[in-house]
Amino acid sequence: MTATTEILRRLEEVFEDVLEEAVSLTTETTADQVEGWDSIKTVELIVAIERAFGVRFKLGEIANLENVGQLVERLSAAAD
Amino acid sequence: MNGWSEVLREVETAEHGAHLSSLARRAARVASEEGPPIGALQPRIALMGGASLDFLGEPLRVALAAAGIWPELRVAEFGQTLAELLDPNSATASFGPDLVVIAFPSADVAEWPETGCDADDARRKAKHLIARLLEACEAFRDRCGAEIVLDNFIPRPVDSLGNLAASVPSSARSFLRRLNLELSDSAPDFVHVHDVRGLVEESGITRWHDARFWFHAKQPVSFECLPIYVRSLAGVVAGILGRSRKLLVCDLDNTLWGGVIGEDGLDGIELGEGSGAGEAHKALQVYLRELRERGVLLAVCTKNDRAVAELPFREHPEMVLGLDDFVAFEASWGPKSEGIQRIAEELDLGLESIVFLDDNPAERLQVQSFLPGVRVPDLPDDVSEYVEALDRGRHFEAFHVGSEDRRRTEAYRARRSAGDLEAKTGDYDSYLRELEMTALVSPFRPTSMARTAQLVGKTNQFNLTTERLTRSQLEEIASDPLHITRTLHLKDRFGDHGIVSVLLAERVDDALDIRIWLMSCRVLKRRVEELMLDVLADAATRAGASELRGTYVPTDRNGIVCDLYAELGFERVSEENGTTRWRLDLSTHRPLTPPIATE
Repeated sequence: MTATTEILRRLEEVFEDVLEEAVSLTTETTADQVEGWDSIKTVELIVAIERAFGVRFKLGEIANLENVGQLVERLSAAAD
Repeated sequence: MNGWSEVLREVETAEHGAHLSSLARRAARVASEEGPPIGALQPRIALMGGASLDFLGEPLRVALAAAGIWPELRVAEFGQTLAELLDPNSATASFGPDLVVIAFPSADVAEWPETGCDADDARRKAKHLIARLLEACEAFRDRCGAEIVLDNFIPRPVDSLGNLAASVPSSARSFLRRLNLELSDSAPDFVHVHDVRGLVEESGITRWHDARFWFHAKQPVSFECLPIYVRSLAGVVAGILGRSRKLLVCDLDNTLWGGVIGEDGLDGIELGEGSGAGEAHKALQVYLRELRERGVLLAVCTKNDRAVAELPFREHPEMVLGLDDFVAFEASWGPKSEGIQRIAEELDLGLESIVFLDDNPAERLQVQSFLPGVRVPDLPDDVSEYVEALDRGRHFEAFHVGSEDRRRTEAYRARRSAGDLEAKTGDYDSYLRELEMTALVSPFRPTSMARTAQLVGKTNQFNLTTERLTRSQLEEIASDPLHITRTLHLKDRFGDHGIVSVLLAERVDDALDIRIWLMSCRVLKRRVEELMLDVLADAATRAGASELRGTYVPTDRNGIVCDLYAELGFERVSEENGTTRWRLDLSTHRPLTPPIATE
């Protein structure tokens, strides 16, 4: 299992908890494609991801989070 | 089944807003499958405030659930506090809440003192701002009769004046402090100040304030501190609605003192000066004594021989608590759940009014699994952290502290020695005469309103209809000529019990219909209810009524009064789903004249 698939799998768990729907994520997934992912849920997702991955996003990252690819990149950078 | 108990237990220990949000979602699912938590109150609560409420509502709901409350919750748009309160047609007004929560009002403070103003200017400005906020609260309460919870003001994370901020009256830091003092001094009874500033002092403003989410979403509290905020708020709401806890049952060995008295002996246990751990155990005792002074009952449950367990209380010079501070003392070798159950029965208290404090995780687990209603805070394995762990739970929130609270332990103890007396005297009425009871019966009065509202909100057992009216509703009724209201204050040779019974009856045609009749179980079997009936019958006759009517509405707690009306000579008129209706013809009724003197 590559680092990216592992991160995606953990992200799916977080998304499923926050959005209360099973979701299947790829690095191509964007907010528009995920049912229920609105600006309020973005905050809840950020907070849950920070807690699950032990990272801290910057204001600019919070404001512009729209696709999963960015997120995976950010989380793998944090893991290095 | 039991989805609730797992969710609610996690709520108590959740340390992050994300965890709490997740629990809130689980709670919503459990509620849709199982319904609300068993026995939960279901008030209408309106939430409004000066910062974003998007991430407060659901966590608050689940924190309330852990406190026995499953509200219908309405969240207003933020920044609209004054409009929501003052506009008679606001969405909040039409919602008709029982309780309004005003969160983080600081953003509604639009006017700050001018730079360089003197202390008098700042004081005037603070008075003006608080008066405007409280006037809006009063206007709303006059129209809608709701109780109001108002967060006080929290400090700002920065102040450009630096160190000078402390001494310059115009600084935000000084002004916010001034606003809080002004608020504490002038809040009326129906406005319950939620001490958020105190929470910030405990957590630290740098942890409390997360600038990222403040700028991004006007989120007023970091997600890290969100659980602290909503649990505290839920505690305040629970206190207002009569759901706070009343009794703390504590262990002795390694809790009140360090070591085991049965093994280490009087000289071996650690307490007070001489060691840090001894000081920490003593600090816990001081905290417990403060709880007892504000009306929380204390009891002991220990696995010990009684004489050994009592030894430190009798002979250790550093003991803060004395045997007199406890209303019950269970020393035995059986399971603690059984000891706690005996205490609850002896004192007529429900398990949901009990908190159990024990250093031993195995004992905590045993009690928690056998008595899920009892609140069992987790204690850290370091005695220096015991007091904080207990304090943080906000188990005993009271919205009124009066002389009755201070006297509660005496009253419960007196009741127990009265029980002892009962065992010795044969003839029951001569026992009652020996109690030398005196009652003062009066209509609802402003001075007794707080206690009356407390009893109406809390009493579960001797309560014929369990109709819960708020203080403002009661005040309105007190001035209505169609209602007769009475409180009964009882004293006896063992002590002053304060107001122990409340009655409220409404004139309907030529009858008086008893809407609320309740009595504290402290004075059961003393014929106090007969005196209350005599008083009411007399008032009814003088008001020209020809009959009394009564209703018994069964709940899972008030079985002890299901036959009350029959015992008092009422005749049954109807029964529907367990609810029975009764009447008493006043022309043939004779006073019962129990052996209680009246003032």
